Formats: sequence, structure tokens, C-alpha cells
Amino acid sequence: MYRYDDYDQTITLQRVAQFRNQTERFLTGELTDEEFRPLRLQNGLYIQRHAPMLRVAIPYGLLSSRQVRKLAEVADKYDRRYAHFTTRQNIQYNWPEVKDIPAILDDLASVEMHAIQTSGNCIRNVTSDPFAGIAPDEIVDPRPYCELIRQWSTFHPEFIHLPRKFKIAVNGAQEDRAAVAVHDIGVHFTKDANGEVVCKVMAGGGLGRTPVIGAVLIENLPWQHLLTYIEAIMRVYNRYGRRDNLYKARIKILVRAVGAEKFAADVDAEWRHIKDGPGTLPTEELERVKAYFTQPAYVAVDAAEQARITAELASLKAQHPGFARWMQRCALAHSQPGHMAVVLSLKHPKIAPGDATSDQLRAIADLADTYSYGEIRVTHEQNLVLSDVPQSQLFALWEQAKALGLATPNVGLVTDIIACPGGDFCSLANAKSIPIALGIQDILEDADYVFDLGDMSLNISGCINSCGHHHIGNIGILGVDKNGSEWYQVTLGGRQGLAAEIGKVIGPSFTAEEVPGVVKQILETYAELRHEDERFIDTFDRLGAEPFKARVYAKKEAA
Amino acid sequence: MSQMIIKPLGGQASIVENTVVTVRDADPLPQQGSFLVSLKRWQEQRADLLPLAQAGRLGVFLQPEDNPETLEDDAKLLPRIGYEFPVFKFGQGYSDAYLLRKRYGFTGELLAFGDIWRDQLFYLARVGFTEFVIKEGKSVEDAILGFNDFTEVYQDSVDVELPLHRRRLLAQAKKDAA
Repeated sequence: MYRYDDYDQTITLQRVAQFRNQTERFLTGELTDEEFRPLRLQNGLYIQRHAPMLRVAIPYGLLSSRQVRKLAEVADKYDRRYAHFTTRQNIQYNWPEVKDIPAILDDLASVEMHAIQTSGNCIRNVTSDPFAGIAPDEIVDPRPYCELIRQWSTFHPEFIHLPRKFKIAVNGAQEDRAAVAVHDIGVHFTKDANGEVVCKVMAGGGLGRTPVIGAVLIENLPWQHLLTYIEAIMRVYNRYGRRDNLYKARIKILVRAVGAEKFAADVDAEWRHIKDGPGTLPTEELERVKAYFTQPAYVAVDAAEQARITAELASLKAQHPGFARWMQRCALAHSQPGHMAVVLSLKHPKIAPGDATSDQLRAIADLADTYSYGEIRVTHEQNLVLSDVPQSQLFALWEQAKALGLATPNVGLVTDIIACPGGDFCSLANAKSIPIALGIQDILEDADYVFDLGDMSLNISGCINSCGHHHIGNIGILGVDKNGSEWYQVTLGGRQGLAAEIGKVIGPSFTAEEVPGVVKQILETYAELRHEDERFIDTFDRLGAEPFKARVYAKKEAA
Repeated sequence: MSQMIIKPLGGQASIVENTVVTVRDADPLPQQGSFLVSLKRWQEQRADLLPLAQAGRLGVFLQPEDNPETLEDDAKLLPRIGYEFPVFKFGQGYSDAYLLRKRYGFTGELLAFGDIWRDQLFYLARVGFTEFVIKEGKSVEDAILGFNDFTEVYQDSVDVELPLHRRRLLAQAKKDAA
């Protein structure tokens, strides 16, 4: 993974000094709450219900075991011995003290980490495919481009006070595992007929109050122009995006107001001024950054060895049904023969989605060192990935992960719930998310039933900011406020990926107590109506929302 | 008389007396000294005001609703352009400044005023501002330290011709040659 050079380290350390000074001025009263607000948000520091929350960037989801140990140490020193992985490949501490933040930033900087631009109206942490570099369907490794965007967007002098927050996602595989269509900018890399790396750039996608799929601005943009083209989009947005109304300030509103074609033309006109200018990426720079994303020294596996391992795994699966199930849900295909990517589920039935204790973090770092060349990835589904596990070690890894509570075989199943921290922690939330997630987990205790239901997604957001990505969940649950009490709206049919779609509301909202029962009815309806091996979303597409609505609301009326 | 900070492009920052008067539309023009008038006033009374601009006394100030493109033709003859930041978080001014400098050839003084204090100065200087009137109640002596926040930057802008990735390559080539 990328390592800082002196330039990168200098900028990160100077940022710590800058924020230390800003924090001191706040604590001495020189800066008011209101004045400190944009400064602390640019550094991922929120003032929450109980305590401040600090969001730390995990650029495009990559972590080294050394970094994970440091994150654990920070959780022990400054928080309550746990941390929360978010849906944007970040990690959050829920209980730090404001006065400790500069010291935390020092600790993070010592392992090339930071909280730069993890909130506020600026370009946020760039997100990407957690299986970058190893996915069999990869066309272009997006990681070097992500790093180039990270550096370019860090303290960009023009774009530090945008009309609103700004999120960029990058994908380079056939399947879109970075949800590029629902980002302010989505970049989809591919290769042209000559084998040159090019990208499609989308803008104006997003969830939130006005969910929308991004408009394609340009196809086949050569990679050299990536940063100047993004700069052109940013400049047009910074000049013409609305600043008079918080709810109409995202780029998607601008794109819709002027029309995608006109917006693309405006961007193009701006781009022509800077195209081929100094911001154009030289091959040497791409090569320099690429050199950090080399493959680990994989142990070669010949055909005979592979046959032996495959037979051994088959036998282990026959002896240990739990291992077989885990293999099916949590071990994914790898571009390197003899290896697999393993998802460590952070969706234990009794623990808030995405939470990990400091002891777990340390254990994960050890697992990564033992089994996966010391690297860990974070997914937007709030799980972790050991990206390069030799197949011969899968069983040993499973036994250890199981003992740590990290081998729940539910990746991609209905209990792999995505949820924001919600009203328990977040001051923006209308309603709680975590108790809803745990309530649903409670009624889905039958692992066989859940396993049999197969691939589906259930996403929960505590408010319309949609941090829990409820719009793109097959089942989406949104916390809403009705006259001061917490209600939940249910959507069906949302999906992520290349065919991303926004789910549709099925009808009136439910109380927190009703939600688990409603989910149960939806699942029962699906189980009864599905054709053999038909996924939830396919049954939904075939039949529409009606049978689900009929079941859910019939029971409600009868009751 | 109040103070302001000046930092010429590529130069050192210092604190000086603020002699530039912002003239609101209802106010009469000062008999002497430097001042700024609104874009509206400039457009309405351009013929009358032009000699004052040519004499180096009159500049134009922009507000959020103004489009800097309106000054495209005049940018080269104005000695000073002011930019009023209504709130700290107002970010449009940064792109507007970039355009005035990089695209419309403005080489005079670019003055930031309004809700301006220490924590914007580093970025404002990067996009071409050279004069900074610090918000009343904020220490000018403290604000001037804001320029020192970073000694290295990733991007090219008005202040730096080349992005870090190009400068890094040049530094490496120099090292290799030595």
C-alpha cells in the first residue's frame, strides 16, 4: 500500500500542528463554538449527543496491521476500547475528549493516518473497491488513482469551503463495488480498444434527501486527465452550486437544475482551459504511485499442490458444516491461484454493525500478519477483508476468527445489516438505528433460515442523510421523526452496483417495535413466492411491491 | 486607522495600515486615498470612474452574487479588486479569485474582507489574494501566523506553478543528475 514520503509526512504533521492551535484557541475561548465548527468538521470532529465523535480517514479502505494496532491503541487511550467502521471506509471514535484530539492526531500521524476532510463541506475521503488489486473481474487497479485523488484533494486551496460535502468513489472492475453511481463524482476505470486506461466520469449521484443516480459527463477520458477533469467539475460546482439552502447545495441539485447535458458542457468548457496544463498526470508519477501497490510475494501453488489443497478443503468442509458455510459466505475468489479474499464479518448478532473492540482490532492485525501479508481492507458494508489468504490456511484462519467473534457466516445475507450509528450517538439522527439492527438480528436467530434466504441487503439509516445507505438496500429502513417520536419508513427494491436503483417506499411508517415483525413478514413473503434459487431482488422485480405490501399492511390492519 | 495584512504574491506577509476604504453605494466617493466601489457602481458610472482607476486610486469590490467574468475586460486596468466574504465558509471567492488571476490576467492587489480571519489566510494567499482585512475583534498579529500553516502543498494554483507531483519529479531528476 502507499507509504508517505517526506512531503506527505510533512503535510500531515503540519496539519496536526494547525489543528492543535485551532483546538487551543477554542478551549481558551478565542474561537466561539460557531467559529470552531467548520474547523473541527474539516478534521472529522463532531460534537455529539454524549461526547465528541472523531472520524478518521481510511483512504480507499486500505489499512496495514501496524495502523490497525495504532487504531486499537487510540481506542484504549482515548475512547472506550472500541471503534466503529462506517459505510464510507472510515473509522469513528465515539467518546474522545476535545482536548485529546491533537494527541490522537499525533498518534495517527505516526502511522501515516489522519482525520483530514472526513467531514465538512469539502472533498471527503475517496472510497473504492475493497477487493481492488485482487478481484478476478478487475480491469484496472483503482488504488493508484485513488491515492492521486487523495493527494490532489488534500487541502486544495479552492475547494476547502464548497457549498456542501463532496464524495468521490472510484471503481476499476466489471462489477461496481464502490457504488460510483451514487456519489458526487463517480469514476469508473476501464481499458479502451488499444489497452489504454480510460475512465467514465459521473457526477451528481447521491443518496440523502434527493436520491439520484449520477449523470455520465464523459466517457473514455484518458487517465492523464483525471485530475484536471475533476478540477473542472469542482470549479463549476464551487461557482454555481447553491449556497442559500443547505438542502439544495449538493452537486446533484445543480446538475438537475441546469440539466446533465448543459452541466457536462460547462465542465467541458472549464476543462479546456486547464486540459494539458501542469495538473495533467505524467506517466512517471503514475508509475511512482503504482509501485506502492505491488502484489505481495505470493507463494506459488502448482497444479498438484492445488489439487491437494482443494481435496483437503472439501474434506474439512464435509467434517465442519460451519466451516463450509463460512467458506461459502465469507471466502471470495482471488485473481491469484491458491488464494482467496476473506471477509471478517463485523455483524455479530449481538453487536452493533461495524463495531470492533480494541482487542478484536489487535487480533485482526495479528490475523492479517499471519494469514494475509499484513494488509486489511474496509468495506462500505462495514466489514473487514483479509485480501490475500492462501487457501491452505483458510481452516486455521476460520478457527481463529470464530473464536474472536469475527466469523459470522453472514456476508451478503440479510443479517449483514448496514447501519449508521443513529440516534444513540449522532445528533443529526431522527431515530435510533442500532437497536433496530439488533432487533432484526434477534428475530433472525435461525442461521439456517437466513442462509437459505440467500443474497440480499438490509440497510438502516437513522435519518435522511442516509449514512446507512437505506436507499440502495434491497430492504431499506429509514428513521423519520413524526411529532417528536421515532418512526421507520420501509423501502424495497433498492440495489447497489452497476445497476444501482433507489428503493421505493412501501407505505406508512412503522414504530420501532413493529420493524422486526415487518422485516419478518417481508422475508416470509419472499420465501413463499420465490422460484427456486431466485434472489430476493429478482423475486421483487418479478412480482413488484404488491405482495409484500399486502402482507405487511394486512397484518397491521388486522392487529 | 485600522490595520490589514499584505502578502505580495510569492512574498512575505506584513502588517500595515489599512488605507483602503470600501465605499457603499449610498456613500459619496472619498476625495483622496484608495477606495473600492461595488461592481454595480462601477458598471453604472464606468466612464466617470475610469480616470480614478487609471490613477491607481479606485478598485472594484465583488460580492457573492457578482460574476467575476463581468470584470474580464477591466481586470487588466483595475489596480485593486476587493472580495467581500459574507461568512467564513463562503468558498466561491476562492474559485473567483483563481479565475481573476489565472484567466482574466488580473495582476493588481486582490483584497479579502468581511468574515476573514487566521484560518482562511493560507488558502486565500494560494488562490491569489494579496491583502487581508481581518474581521474586527480578531487579532491581526495572530492571524498573520496563518500563512505558516503549511510549507508544502500538493496542488498547483495561483501561488505555485507546478503541482507537487511535478516538482517531486524535477527534484528527483536533479538529484539523479548530481
